[in-house]
Amino acid sequence: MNPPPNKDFREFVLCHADRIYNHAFRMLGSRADAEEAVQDVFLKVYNSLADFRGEADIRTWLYRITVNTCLTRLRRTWRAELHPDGDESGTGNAWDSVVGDEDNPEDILMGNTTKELVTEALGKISTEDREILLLFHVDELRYEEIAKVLGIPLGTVCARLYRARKRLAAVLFSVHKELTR
Amino acid sequence: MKCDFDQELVRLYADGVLKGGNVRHIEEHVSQCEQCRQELTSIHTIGRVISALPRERASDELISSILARVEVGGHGSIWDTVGETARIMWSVAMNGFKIEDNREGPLRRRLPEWVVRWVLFV
Repeated sequence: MNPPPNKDFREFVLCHADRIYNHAFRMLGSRADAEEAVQDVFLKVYNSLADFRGEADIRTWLYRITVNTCLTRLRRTWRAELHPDGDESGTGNAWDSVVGDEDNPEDILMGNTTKELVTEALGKISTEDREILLLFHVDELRYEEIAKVLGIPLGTVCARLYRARKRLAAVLFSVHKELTR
Repeated sequence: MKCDFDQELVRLYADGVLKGGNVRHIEEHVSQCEQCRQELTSIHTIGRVISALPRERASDELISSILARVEVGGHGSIWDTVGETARIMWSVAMNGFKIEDNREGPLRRRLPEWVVRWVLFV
């Protein structure tokens, strides 16, 4: 497959930029890092389109490049943990915004005030856990696609998702418990 | 009492991976098992919490920047440019400045604009 004309590539960028940016932002935790990563992703895509043989689904291929770009960036900057941009997170602990009268964990977690907290909790779990949770729940990739993107056996996806959910739940509930004690 | 039902099946069911008979089998079990119902609820809750996060959008500036970088840096190595220029020169020497329509598009993509202008006199 030859590189597409610029007009087609522009459409390709317009079609996928939002989801790739969202994924990079959730992985890297900073708008500036996410913007640089997304630029790198599309430049890599553009330069590799000639090698893309259509054997893989283009979405899977695009996510594989995105995942690798984010991981490389995380490794390079030694950022094991996510630190939301200062201008977005405000000051103090994000859990402070929880109003803690509810007893039902689902109500607590699903409340509008918890989005920042979930973002923070996602940053406290491992990169590997965060990656698979985002791919499944945010990017809505199927098991088969996740296996291809991450280069893992299909049978491993379910187990990894289970562990990642469990760790995220543990982080969310432990902090909530502390706050309501 | 601890349920000994295959929990991986419950998780696969929760993720919408299972089909047909397996689904009915699990639904029957879950309707009678409090422990598995709780497992399902936990999975769904965590899933909803994550998917409820707002979707961040790429700004127009970012998209412009991507397209600009492709324009500047997406042409491959210097040797690609030299090779492509040599091929064009050979073609010009043999055929004059008549370049087939199906060659002009790829050339424009692979070469910097100034090379295209110089070679094609456009």
